[in-house]
Amino acid sequence: MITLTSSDGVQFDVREAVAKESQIIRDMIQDDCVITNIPLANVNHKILSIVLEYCQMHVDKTEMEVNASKHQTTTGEGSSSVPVALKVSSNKNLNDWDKEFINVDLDTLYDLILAANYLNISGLLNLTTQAAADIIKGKTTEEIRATFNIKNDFTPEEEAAIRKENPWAFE
Amino acid sequence: MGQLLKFLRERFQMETRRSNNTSQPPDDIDRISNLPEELRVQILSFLTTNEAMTRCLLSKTWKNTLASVPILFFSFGQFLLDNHVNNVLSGEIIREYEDEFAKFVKSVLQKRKASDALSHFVLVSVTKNCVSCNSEAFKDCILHALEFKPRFLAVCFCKHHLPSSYEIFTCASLHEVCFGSKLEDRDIEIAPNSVNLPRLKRLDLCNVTVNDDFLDKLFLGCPIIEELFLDSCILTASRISSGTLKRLGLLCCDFSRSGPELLNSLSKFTRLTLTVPGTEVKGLFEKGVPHWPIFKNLKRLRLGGWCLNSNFSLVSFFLRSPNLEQLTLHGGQTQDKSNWEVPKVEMIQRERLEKVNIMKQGRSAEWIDQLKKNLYAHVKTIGEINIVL
Repeated sequence: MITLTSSDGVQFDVREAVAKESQIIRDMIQDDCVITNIPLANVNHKILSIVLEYCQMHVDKTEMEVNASKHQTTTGEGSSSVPVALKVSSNKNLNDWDKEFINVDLDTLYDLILAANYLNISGLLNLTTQAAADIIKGKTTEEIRATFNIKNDFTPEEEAAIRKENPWAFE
Repeated sequence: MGQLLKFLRERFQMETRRSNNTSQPPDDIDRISNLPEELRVQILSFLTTNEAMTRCLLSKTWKNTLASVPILFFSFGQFLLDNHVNNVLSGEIIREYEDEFAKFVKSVLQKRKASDALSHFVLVSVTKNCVSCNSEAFKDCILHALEFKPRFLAVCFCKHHLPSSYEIFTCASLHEVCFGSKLEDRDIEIAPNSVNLPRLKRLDLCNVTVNDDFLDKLFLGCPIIEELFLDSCILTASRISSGTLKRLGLLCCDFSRSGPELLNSLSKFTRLTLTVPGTEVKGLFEKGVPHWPIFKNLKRLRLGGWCLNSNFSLVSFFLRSPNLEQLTLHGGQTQDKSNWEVPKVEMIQRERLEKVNIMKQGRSAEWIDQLKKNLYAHVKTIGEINIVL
């Protein structure tokens, strides 16, 4: 077990495999195998618990697959159909689970992007940045500004100049 | 077009959709603009360049970020969609849009500073109904992009563009290239004057005709190439032989014009991907398995299409591969619903396969069971079997 301590002092005990979903933790543990308590200065307990939920799910799913596929049968008869069904459904469920998991408010999404980046969890970073891109997709400039509270700091002249550069883009 | 398709799917076509309750900002802080630049770049990299560029209007921060995104993805089809063009266009009108598209690509490239690293450059200049082709403008775009020394480059073009794109084959910065045309144009031979790609590790070719001359130039000019994938190509080459190549993929290629020696040259590879569509089983594979060479080096094999139906036996294939460790089977791409039959060659029991991956791709549970039964009939132990949807 590894103890991870959030920036606001909450401790989480997790299995080593779960903590190792994070590249930065994996490196720490590899460098010095006696480390069991890791303080994470940039992640608060609320976000850390969500991140760990993601890691836990992905580790569980991987382990379930390995277990389901360990057949050492010589006959090839029967016995295999149940685990296969189990694993096929687990694969499908994980994508659905990811989709549901990332359905969070914008503030949480930013925090998750930052945490995934800091902890170096590439799967989570891809999932969260893709989710942010999906919010941007297909919206007008005004809609995006409103959604993200982006202040328009162009003067009308500057804005006109940009529109002129790419006339087709802003029709 | 394996690599490009994968790239497109991963980057731009994922179906993650969010429900509407997430779009309400909790307060007035603009947190997305305050994210570290590299994270904002990553978010923007999921958008096509057409769409990303319209985001310069958001604010100065975004404009600066956009000027230096390391991934550029231009799609003519998307460009037409963004301009609300959905109908089949006449040649003249399409030409106007093509000019506009080329101008757009150029303007994006011109805004970059020479120091802004460009990692990926993707240019898909064809659409289904594309008829006219301005190859000069296309060539300018490619040349301009190559100045930024991209590592990964993918282009998809029509036959008129082919000669203008040969500059790609002498670009020293490239690590990976994906080069393809339309299916209708696949009988055009790929024939650059020279090939010099000192850093190239992987090449994907799609819908072109590949001859011996090109392969000779390729293996001479790419001293460290490790992976070659030919997707829906016509192979007229008599052999594929390279000292450095570790993985070879032949996906739905037409072998009817390739020499019999080709199969012998394939037997030298350690990793092989082979899918053959049911309708094109001719030439190379007609002779049947007993006449095949022994695939002595083969460690990893991926099979799909006709390779999985009853006329050809997958099992026969790996009987000729004594050192095989990993087998991946693709359920898709074959219409043949028939079950596997016992192969009509000498039965040898294999002791062990380390790993078998089965890509289910819509096949039924019965099909999977049949497949596994067949595998176990010929292999004593299998380390692990993974079923992937």
